Amino acid sequence: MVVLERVTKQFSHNGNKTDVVSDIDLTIAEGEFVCLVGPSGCGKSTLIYLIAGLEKPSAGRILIDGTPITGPGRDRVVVFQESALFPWLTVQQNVEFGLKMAGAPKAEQTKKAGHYLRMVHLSRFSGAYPYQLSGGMKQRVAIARALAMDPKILLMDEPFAALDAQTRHLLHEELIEIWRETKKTILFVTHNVREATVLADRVFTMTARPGRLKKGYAIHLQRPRRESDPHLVVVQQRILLGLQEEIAKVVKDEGLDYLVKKTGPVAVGADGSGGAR
Amino acid sequence: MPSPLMIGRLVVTNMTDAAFLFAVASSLRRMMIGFTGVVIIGIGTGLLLGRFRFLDDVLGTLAIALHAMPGAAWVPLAIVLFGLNESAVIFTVLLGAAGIVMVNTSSGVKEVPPLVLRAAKTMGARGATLFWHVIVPAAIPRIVDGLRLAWAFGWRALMAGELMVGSIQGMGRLLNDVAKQRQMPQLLAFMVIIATISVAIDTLIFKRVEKMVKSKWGTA
Ligand SMILES: Nc1ncnc2c1ncn2[C@@H]1O[C@H](COP(=O)(O)OP(=O)(O)O)[C@@H](O)[C@H]1O
Ligand SMILES: [Mg+2]
Repeated sequence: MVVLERVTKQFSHNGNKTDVVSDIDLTIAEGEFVCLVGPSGCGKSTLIYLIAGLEKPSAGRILIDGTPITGPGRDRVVVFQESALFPWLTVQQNVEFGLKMAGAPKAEQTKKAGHYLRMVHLSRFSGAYPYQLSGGMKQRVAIARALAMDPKILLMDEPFAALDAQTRHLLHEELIEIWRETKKTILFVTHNVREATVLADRVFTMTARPGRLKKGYAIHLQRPRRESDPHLVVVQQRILLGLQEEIAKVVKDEGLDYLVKKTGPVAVGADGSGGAR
Repeated sequence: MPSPLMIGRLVVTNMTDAAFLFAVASSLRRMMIGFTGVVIIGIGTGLLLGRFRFLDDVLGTLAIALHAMPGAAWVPLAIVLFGLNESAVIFTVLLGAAGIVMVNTSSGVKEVPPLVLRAAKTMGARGATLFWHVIVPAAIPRIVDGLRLAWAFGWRALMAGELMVGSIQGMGRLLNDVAKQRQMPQLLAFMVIIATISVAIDTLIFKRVEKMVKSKWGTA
């Protein structure tokens, strides 16, 4: 179980401190799939880094199964937006990396890496280097690399944002399959509302500047889900409506509001990215 | 002015002349010794500067000064330290080319993409393991860049050293000799050969390695 208690993170910008994420209370149950949606720059990555232990909260605590975290740990692994694979290692060596760091015997490294590469259907590419793979394949390797460490919690920071719609769809199915099989707890961050509703047990929206949790939506729909399922579309509309306000705020902060005055309210794409990026 | 054809012929004749080839080999041998020193000292110091903040504070400026100094400017000091001999030339190559490798290696180490570091840390890499398994390999494109530049700087320093030391076997002395005898065609032929050797080694070795590294590391 992951518990965030009044978690706040401040960054200082030439002397002024601003809250990037503020007062976050969140509990994620064992084996739950939670999605966090919010406009760009609202602090989603920061929140992921906090839970990963890569950043320290300015206030509040983060507990994993009741124990406060003190830094990165093998129980929590991050899958990043862009491929954070190591270009000098083969696919196989990338997947073995975490096990190697943990001092696992070579035979175990090989075996586990092989197992998880099969799970993401990339066994054939075990000898390839990252630059030889497509964007979707890289992210599947990144998922295999994370799973190979057998973490309890998978933290996913817009892992499919850079992929085309078809590839993303396939990876959604693959991820749900993996989640069922491995029973991981997943926190998945995205700015894509449809993606969130297809994947999650619960979706939380975030406000921008400061980043706070705004509202939670439970989705009790059997998987696999279709993005265009009428039940989901209703939820998507509700979420988007809630996000309009936040996107408008970002647009204003970024000095794009003159566009809005000219053209009327910002059109929010169904992917929730809005006009501003 | 001698015609290009004439110079071309002279180049060919020289390339089959044992005495000339011996001079080229002597120069290349010096270059190799100096460059090996550059690789070891340049990368070694660069890694230390990149890894230890306090060393960088103290010696970082020195590395930049070393890098800013034209290679030829080391020759007088080299002669004072070693005399008119081969060691002075090797010393010149070393100091003329090590700076750029130090500077590139240490910035390669300091500028590892944050995403790569974050990924490594979440997988349990820290301290010396993080340094050797992640930071150093991530810095390789910058190190290779540095070595390629160092080759060009080293070659210039080698010529400056040989020309000024004068008395030792090598291409520098050949240049001096034909210049004294005012043999323009032969002088130009030597210069063509010197430039060609430098370009050939750059293209056949350094450019290739750089291209390979850039496509693999995705920094192209
Ligand atoms: N290390 C940092 N120092 C200062 N500001 C930061 C730092 N990391 C993030 N920020 C700021 O925090 C805000 C939220 O960033 P981020 O968490 O990356 O948002 P998101 O992932 O939702 O797009 C941004 O405005 C960003 O500029
Ligand atoms: Mg982000």
